[in-house]
Amino acid sequence: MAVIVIQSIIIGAIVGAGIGAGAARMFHAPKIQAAGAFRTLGEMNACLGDPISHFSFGFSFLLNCAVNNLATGTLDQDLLHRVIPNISAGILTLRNKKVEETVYDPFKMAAVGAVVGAIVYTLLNMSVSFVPDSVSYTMTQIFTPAIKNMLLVMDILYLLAALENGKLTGIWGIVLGSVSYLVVGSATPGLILGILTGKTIETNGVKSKISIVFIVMMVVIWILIAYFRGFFPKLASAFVISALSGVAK
Amino acid sequence: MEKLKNLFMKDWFFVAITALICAGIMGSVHMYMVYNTGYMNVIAGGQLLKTGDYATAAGFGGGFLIARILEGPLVGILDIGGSLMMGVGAGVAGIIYQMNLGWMIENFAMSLILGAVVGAVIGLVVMGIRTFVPKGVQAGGSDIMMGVGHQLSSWLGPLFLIAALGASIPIGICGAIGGAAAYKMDKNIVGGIILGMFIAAFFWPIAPAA
Repeated sequence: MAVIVIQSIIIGAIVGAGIGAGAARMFHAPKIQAAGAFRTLGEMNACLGDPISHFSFGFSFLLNCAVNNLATGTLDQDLLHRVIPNISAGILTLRNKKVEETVYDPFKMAAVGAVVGAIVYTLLNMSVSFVPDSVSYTMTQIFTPAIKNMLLVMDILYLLAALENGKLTGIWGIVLGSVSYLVVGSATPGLILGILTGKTIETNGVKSKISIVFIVMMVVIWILIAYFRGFFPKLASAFVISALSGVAK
Repeated sequence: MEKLKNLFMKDWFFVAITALICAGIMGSVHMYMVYNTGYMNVIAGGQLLKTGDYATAAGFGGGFLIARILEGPLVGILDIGGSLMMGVGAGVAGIIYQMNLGWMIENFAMSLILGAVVGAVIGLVVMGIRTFVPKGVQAGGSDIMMGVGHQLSSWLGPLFLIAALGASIPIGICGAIGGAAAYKMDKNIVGGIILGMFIAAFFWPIAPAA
């Protein structure tokens, strides 16, 4: 338990500082590069300067995170997207409502974010120790088949998306997706790369530098992955040996 | 105070920010893999790592990472959900396990260092693209991927419900009630289903096979 608490404090403080600074810099983007999300920016703008809206927004998502964490051990993305930025902004605006001096200041947000992160993350992780082993075992038993099915759904959805977005993404998707399924056992990685490649070629033209970089990168990446996973010997034996045995019959 | 603020406002300080966030996220992967708690990402990514589908985790997360890194410098805000939580928390973690370097994540200090290094590299790449790539050149496709991401999240509820119904009768019934209640209240049904299964698991747990 003590180990979990100490590790949680460290992780929470580190991540909170980064999130706080990144979120404050969103108000200065695109002049300086920020880290966050457009929806986070929108939500923070909606509450801006009013500590009560910041707190109620942050805490309602904290509740979500806590339930998720108890049941599955995962926090969803809300802790970093919503809880830490909004609770930090709420604390800062309690004392000074001028957002230019508080929420827009990356250093202040980082400092408060670190404290908020450490406290919240530690509480979330400590609550899990009240869940009995039989319950977490049961939850795993349910999730394993669900995730297996999800992998298939993922393959299908990405393939459909590739096909729906034009000939280039469709062809790149089918080719890289199939290669990917044969090599690593799932089509998703190849389909995603296929969509990115196809769309990049479509936007910039096949002769542009970035398209050529993409095409070369795809070929090199997949040859390397196939080589390290021992795919080429398998490929050769599947074609040649079965053909030879066919002749022998 | 003023000096620190100026430091934090430097454009290149972005590299330190991504290093911090990624160190924390990799630390959360450590917490999740070792203690089953605190994974700072969606459950789908976590379950891929738990069930050993490292290649899929790497591809799924890595795709988001690439898309968001290409998009981030162009719009000025790097989306931490796709790039860092999914990209590092599932993608890079999957690559690390794939390379049989899982001990780096299972060791606490090492996971933080690893995360910080990965984050710094991501930050440098983003700043590099921001500095050197001329305006107008863009890699497309991230909008398509985001669309699939949203579709996938609407598939998650039905998939969990079917799994709950297949697991046992009480868990299935409680999951269904939770899902229906969440839908009635205009909440995400995944939350309701998970909460229902979770309550049922207290009273009617599945016994481990001997």
